[in-house]
Amino acid sequence: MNSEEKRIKSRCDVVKIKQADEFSSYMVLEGEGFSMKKKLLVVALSTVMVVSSLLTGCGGSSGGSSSGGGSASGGASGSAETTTGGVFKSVETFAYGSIDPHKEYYSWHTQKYGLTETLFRINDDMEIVPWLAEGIEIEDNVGTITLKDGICFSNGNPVTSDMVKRNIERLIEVSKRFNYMSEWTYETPDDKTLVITTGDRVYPTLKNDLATPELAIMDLDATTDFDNNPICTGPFVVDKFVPQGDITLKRNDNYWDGEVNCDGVVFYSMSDDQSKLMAMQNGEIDAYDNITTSDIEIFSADPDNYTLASVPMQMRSYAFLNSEKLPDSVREAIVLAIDKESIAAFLPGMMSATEGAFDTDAPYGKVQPPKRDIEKAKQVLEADGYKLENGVFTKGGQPLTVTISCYQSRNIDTIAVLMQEQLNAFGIKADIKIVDEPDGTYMTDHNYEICLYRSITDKTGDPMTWFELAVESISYQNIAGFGNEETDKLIEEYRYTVDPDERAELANEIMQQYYDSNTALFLTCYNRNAVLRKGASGFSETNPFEFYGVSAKTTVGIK
Amino acid sequence: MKKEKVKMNKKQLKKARLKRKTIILGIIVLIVLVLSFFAPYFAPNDPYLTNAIAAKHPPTSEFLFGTDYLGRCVFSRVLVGARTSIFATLMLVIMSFIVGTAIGIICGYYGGAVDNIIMRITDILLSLPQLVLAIAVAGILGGSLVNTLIAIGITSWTSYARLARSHTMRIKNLPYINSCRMTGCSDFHILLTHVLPNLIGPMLVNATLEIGSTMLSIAGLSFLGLGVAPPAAEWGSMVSEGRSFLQIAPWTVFAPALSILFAVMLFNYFGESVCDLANSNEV
Repeated sequence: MNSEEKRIKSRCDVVKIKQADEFSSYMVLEGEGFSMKKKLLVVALSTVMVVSSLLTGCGGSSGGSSSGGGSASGGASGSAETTTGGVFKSVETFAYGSIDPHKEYYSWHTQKYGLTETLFRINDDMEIVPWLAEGIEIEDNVGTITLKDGICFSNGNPVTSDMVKRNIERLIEVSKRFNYMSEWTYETPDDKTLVITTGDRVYPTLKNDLATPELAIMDLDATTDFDNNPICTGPFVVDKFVPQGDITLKRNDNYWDGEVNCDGVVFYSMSDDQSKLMAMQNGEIDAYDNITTSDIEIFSADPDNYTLASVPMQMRSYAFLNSEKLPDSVREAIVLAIDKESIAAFLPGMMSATEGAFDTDAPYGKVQPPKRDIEKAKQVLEADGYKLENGVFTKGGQPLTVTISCYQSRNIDTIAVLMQEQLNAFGIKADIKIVDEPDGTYMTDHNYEICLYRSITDKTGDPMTWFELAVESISYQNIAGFGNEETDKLIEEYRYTVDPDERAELANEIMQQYYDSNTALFLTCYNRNAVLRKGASGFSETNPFEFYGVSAKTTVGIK
Repeated sequence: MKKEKVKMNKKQLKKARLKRKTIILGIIVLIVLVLSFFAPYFAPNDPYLTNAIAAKHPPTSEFLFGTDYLGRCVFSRVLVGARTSIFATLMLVIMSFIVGTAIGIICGYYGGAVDNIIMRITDILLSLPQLVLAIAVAGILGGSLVNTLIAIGITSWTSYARLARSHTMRIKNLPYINSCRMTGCSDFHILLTHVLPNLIGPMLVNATLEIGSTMLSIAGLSFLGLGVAPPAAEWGSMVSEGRSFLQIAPWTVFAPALSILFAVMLFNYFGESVCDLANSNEV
């Protein structure tokens, strides 16, 4: 340090000392005034901290871990300490911006919340039973539906056949998936009767179609805000809906089917599995479904406080094998090489291995894809010129590689990892590509080799919904290059075939063609796993469909 | 006179201690680097081999850190994950160092419009929350390790650029640089021979300090599913995978999480020591 620098430094030190002196003199001069100010400052800061912590939800213990900024309290008040009355609380995995039941798949949620109801419903044994309707008489191509007596909307207005007809017309208008219903004619001879004529031919699955949750009946005249507050017939009515967030419902005092047990229902928007688990353990919610393998282990270890329910669903995971990117031999070899049992073994309780798209005991599930056969898989590839070199099949010096596209939901990514391992062990080098969500990527741009997906394959106890969803040329899930005229004709024939044996035969023929193409590989069948707090009941936990949930008889758990 | 001598000795002693600490830490860092590079050869089990029967087993002599939900050896995966996590971090720090230093030197030496434009860009990038920007970029590019490095690298070069620029601006006005110019040396020659060697010290110190935070950023993005594709082992993604089993198999989370903690602490401690040593040399 030279002399100039030392001089500057010493001057700086003098200035610092002066400033410190001035500050201390100020403190002495101000005396009590300063401490008063300080106290006020402390009080003000504390107030700001308390208010901000309340605003951000850090300080509150009620309401659970709601997201989306929605208030969890709403108008659905009541004690949750008894098994009758109170507010039933649960969680919703998916976030959505509307609860208009005719749009998209929102009705799957609204029906679960006890907001909407349909003419028919599917019971625990997969049978179609009346709900708002008294019954249906089908004669050739005419179905006569009689509505129940005394059914009304939450505002007290009666449900008439004309309103049901208008709801069907609105559904056709709003959702493209129900365009086929526009070919039918609807008549209302009186307030309780709706006559549906299904064109020139018989439509055997009419009753099944009327049980779909999308066909929720709303009061179209009284509803002013379809996206946020539809007026429906369920045991609960919307109290507060936060788009992409929580939903609070309160008791429908005009419910047509007896007294509603709970004062209200709250579904918190919660996508994270760990948050759901902890919310249940903390007593913030009464029940939830879609629980994970680890949750099953945790809750089953505490049977005194939790009730676990597990029923096989018709939801399956499957892989599409793109026929435009993978040759026939490779697709066939992959179908033969994958060990589904081994995949299911890693996810006990969550899912079981499945042969094909339908249960083997269903009349339309008699045809199943070939079983695992490693030797045959090798032969298929070798017949096509592939050679097994250093554990990898090669052709023309190039190793056989495939990419498995998948997404992180419902253990789809875990299935992909296990498939990859099995393919690598077999001799096909597999990579994994994870996308945020499949519908905006490979399901629409078809840019994949192998992709994983899952959906309900048997929605109404009839394979027609699956044919329309994945087998027909124009179907959404026809992304692997299977759709063809011959199968389309068979599907069209199936649509109007009445005789059950003939229908089963046709369905099996269609599925045989589908399986033979090796464009789809069915992997696992999910279970619907739900957990309920002790005392809680009536969450449709024994129903194989997730779109059923709370009802008038739902009870709240004991804390 | 005697007091001054004692004081000098204390200073020297402190410096010597600092030097010794830095060397020891440097050796530990080197050992960790070597171990992580050869990790696949040390792994006692196949880190990718699944086993339904052995799933979620607590630590045993066969599986030192237990097994994960697919029955894979967590210890082997931590070892293999070290290679991914540490070398990805080092690669990113080196790349950011080279790019940032080069840009900073050019801006500092030439100034003018180019300097203004680049510095405003760095201002913009520094004003954005780095991890949020990285999440957005990685989300657009898609999940892979390379994309993660790109996402973090977009902002990480800025600190090097600013530091290099300020040092270059100081150095370029020193008399010996003017002498070089007078003797007809080219700008490139001056930058390479006279400017770069004089700022490389503080730049390296900055780089060693950045290793820890970069490692955390990579692990953070991997935790969010924007890093390596499964089943590749990487510490951040391992924590994410094990999170669902925290209550029944906590070792699947603690093993990679503690590895991250240890590695970040080690590199940060090493960086601090290098920084202290460099400062003591300047004094």
